[in-house]
Amino acid sequence: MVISGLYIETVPGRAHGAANSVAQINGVEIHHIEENHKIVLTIEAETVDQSYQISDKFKHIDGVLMVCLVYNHFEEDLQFVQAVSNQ
Amino acid sequence: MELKRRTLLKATAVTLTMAAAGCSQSEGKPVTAEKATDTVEPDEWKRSVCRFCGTGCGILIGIKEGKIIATKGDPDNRSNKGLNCIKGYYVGKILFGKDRITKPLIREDKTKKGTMEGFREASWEEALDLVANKMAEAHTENPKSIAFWGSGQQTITEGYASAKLWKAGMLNNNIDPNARLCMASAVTGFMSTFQSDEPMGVYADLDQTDVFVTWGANVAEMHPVLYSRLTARKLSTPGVMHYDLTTRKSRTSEIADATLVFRPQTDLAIANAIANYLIQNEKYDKKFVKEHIQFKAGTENLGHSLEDDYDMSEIGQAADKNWTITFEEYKEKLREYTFEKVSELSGVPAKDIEALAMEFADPNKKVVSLWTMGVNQHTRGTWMNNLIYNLHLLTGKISKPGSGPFSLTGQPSACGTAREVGVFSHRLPADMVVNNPEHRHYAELVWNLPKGYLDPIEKPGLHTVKMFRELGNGNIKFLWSMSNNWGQSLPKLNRFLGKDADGKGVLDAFIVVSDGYPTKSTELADVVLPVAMWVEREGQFGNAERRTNIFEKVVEPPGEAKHDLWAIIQVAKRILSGRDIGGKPAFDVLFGNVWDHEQDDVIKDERELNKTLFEEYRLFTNPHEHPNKEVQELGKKLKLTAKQLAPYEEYLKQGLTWPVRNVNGEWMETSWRYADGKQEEGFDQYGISEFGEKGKYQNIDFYKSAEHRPSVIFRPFEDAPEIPDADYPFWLCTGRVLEHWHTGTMTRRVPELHRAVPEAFCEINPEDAESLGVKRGDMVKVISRRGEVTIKVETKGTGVPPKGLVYVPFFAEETLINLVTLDAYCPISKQPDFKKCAVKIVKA
Repeated sequence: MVISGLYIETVPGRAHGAANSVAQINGVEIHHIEENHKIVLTIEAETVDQSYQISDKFKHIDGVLMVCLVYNHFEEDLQFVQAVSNQ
Repeated sequence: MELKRRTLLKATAVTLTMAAAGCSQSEGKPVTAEKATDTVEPDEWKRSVCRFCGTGCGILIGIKEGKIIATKGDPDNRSNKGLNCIKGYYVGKILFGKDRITKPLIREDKTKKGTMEGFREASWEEALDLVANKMAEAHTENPKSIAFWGSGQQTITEGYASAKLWKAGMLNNNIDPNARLCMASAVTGFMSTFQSDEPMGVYADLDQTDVFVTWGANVAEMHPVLYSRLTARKLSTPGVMHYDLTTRKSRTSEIADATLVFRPQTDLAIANAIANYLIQNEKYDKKFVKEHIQFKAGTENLGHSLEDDYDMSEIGQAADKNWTITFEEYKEKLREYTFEKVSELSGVPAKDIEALAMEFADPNKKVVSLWTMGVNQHTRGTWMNNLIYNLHLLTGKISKPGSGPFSLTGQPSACGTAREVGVFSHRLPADMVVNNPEHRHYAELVWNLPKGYLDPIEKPGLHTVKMFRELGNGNIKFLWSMSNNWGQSLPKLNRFLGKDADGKGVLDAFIVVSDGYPTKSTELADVVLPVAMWVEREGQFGNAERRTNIFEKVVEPPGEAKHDLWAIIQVAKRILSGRDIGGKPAFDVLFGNVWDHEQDDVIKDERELNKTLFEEYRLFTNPHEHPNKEVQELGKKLKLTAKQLAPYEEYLKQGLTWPVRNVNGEWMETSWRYADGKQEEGFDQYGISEFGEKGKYQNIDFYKSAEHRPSVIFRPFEDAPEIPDADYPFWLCTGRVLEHWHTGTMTRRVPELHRAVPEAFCEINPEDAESLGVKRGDMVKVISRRGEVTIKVETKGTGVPPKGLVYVPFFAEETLINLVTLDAYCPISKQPDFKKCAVKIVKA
């Protein structure tokens, strides 16, 4: 399982609406919405690629201005660990 | 994954994300009562810096049992405060494309140039011998026929070693970086206005300002982490305004309060209209102007640098001349730039220009200007930089928390390496230039060279466009390029791929390319040297806010790939063999300190190697630490401590913005240059104390500027070299996309990023598309007087061009938009304009 922590900035007043749409995506859990323009969420996915694919969908959601990645733990995506560890 | 472990990991992710997003923890939904423990933590976090843009985001790389298992934004890095953009998912994976070059390659079949065929694998020994022999051969025949094209992606020590080899070793100034294509105009803008390169403020200004002005900068997609700081400020503080000046609406325009879409090139007139309003209505800061500013005018009617001999023409020679004028003369020159006239010229409603002018006019508002390639890649790029400074200088909105003009960079070390080290054809380290005898003498002292030894390099060498034009003309016989991809990124590319009649020299020259992957440039190489990329070696980057960061080595390079420092020093060992400097072997004088005589090799310990070179480089910025009194005195006279750096070890603890001062044994960075105040609060206390005067108006002393007065320079509107007409009716603007970085040689090797944006596209205004009879997804040809590409139409992209303008990104090597672009450059900075030329669009 790959666990990633991300932060979405939305157009003011649109965070709740955007979060509703984001939350429909499999693997996404919304943890916090602040001042109706910040969304803090985690993604659970089998692989880093799947996690990225999920996050890549956010940009198409109405009101989303930008997506930032903060944390990405991929110890169990063995293929990715091998790939980035040059093994 | 067991539930507890997953919960712990999520708790870690949420805690870090909340902090990085600047959320109030108390308001957050509690995800777990337990705290993350060591069970999910890596054994160690290695400190690194992102490989891509100039923001300089810190990344921590988590290692467990020797393997990379996690990454996170570095919360202690003050440039990004724990945030990474979406490319952060894959920054590690750029190292592991399937086609990494792992052995040196030597071309056996010159007829196959332009392809990756005709190479054979070789040993390093053979490749290095061949490189050195060919370089020596060309140099012996004509010392001016060798050239080095460096990069804002070289590390600081790599840039330093290559510049030292070329300038002191080969006594040759034909060394220039790819930064010439991205920020040379920023350099000449800073130098002509302030006589000191690089911004006076820091990213923290974004957190405190009242008004953002983006000039030709799609920050949302090109500098996403900085855009997050912009949006965080704007959205959390009522009344904060954002004006986006652009030739095409982009994602950055989405929450701007006003988007001023102007006809290409008329940004010059808009800036003058704002200045004119400030002056005519006496809305400038009179005391600031009286105490701190001087006024100048410069050469006008510069024409355009379309011909190879432009630099040597009368106007080319005079392009950078300027002279003092009075305030009244400046006022008079501005008078014609009324809102109405400029509105007509630019297409921007007069009320929008006026609204922006009113922001500058408000003495109670802090203003930050941000700009990138729209301003720099401009045939009047230096002028445009000057004009933005004019507005901040007239209103005193500079060198203060939350106020200042801020030139952003596109590469991770365009500032740290290309600019600060001086990997330019006219520069030496620490703002010094080759045509100043005292500057050359200072370099002679640091490099242990006899007095006058550097006199042969008193004239600047070939700047980038000239270098490649002369390569095409057959006058450059040997070229070594490193950390760049000129075969894709140069404008008017048919010439530099050897296809045009005046580009055939490219095919005949001996070309060495150091790279990790096959590129359009390696296709033109005679030797390809396989390199250690990013964290496969230790290195240092300097970002746009003057922050120097070290990244640690995390993994071994694949196969026989070697770090560039090793290759530079190995070539130096060979090429300098048999030469003397002051009666001593030249190599020992220049690189003896990084050679392990016992092993007969470059010092193997990369920490020691980098530290040795960095500490030597530091003698340019810390003259007072040099044992030689002459160095100390000359360094003081030249004000070199204005760029003071900390010892290497300090950067292993954290990145620091220069000048970094030693305050009772603690190294403290400077956030606001020229502003007096406490050093521990980020002000330039020691700079003012050493070179300035305390108590001047607003506690500012521009101590690096001539007479301590930066210049407000009058620069007129002059039109672009190629304007759409009946035959070529559209403007073409080129640039980047969020998912790919520059020529895509790294990001396109990451399958997911490639899938996200698999091909280039041509953004067309829907009305234009309808007139042309094309729709989204159709193929069209984009044709200029120089070349053409076939490309897919996009009418619903993230950017919306106005009618009459199309936008094409340059990341795709199969869709070389630079076959179409124009190689005219700013006559002062020599930076080409990738943002405007005339094209026609026809159905493919």
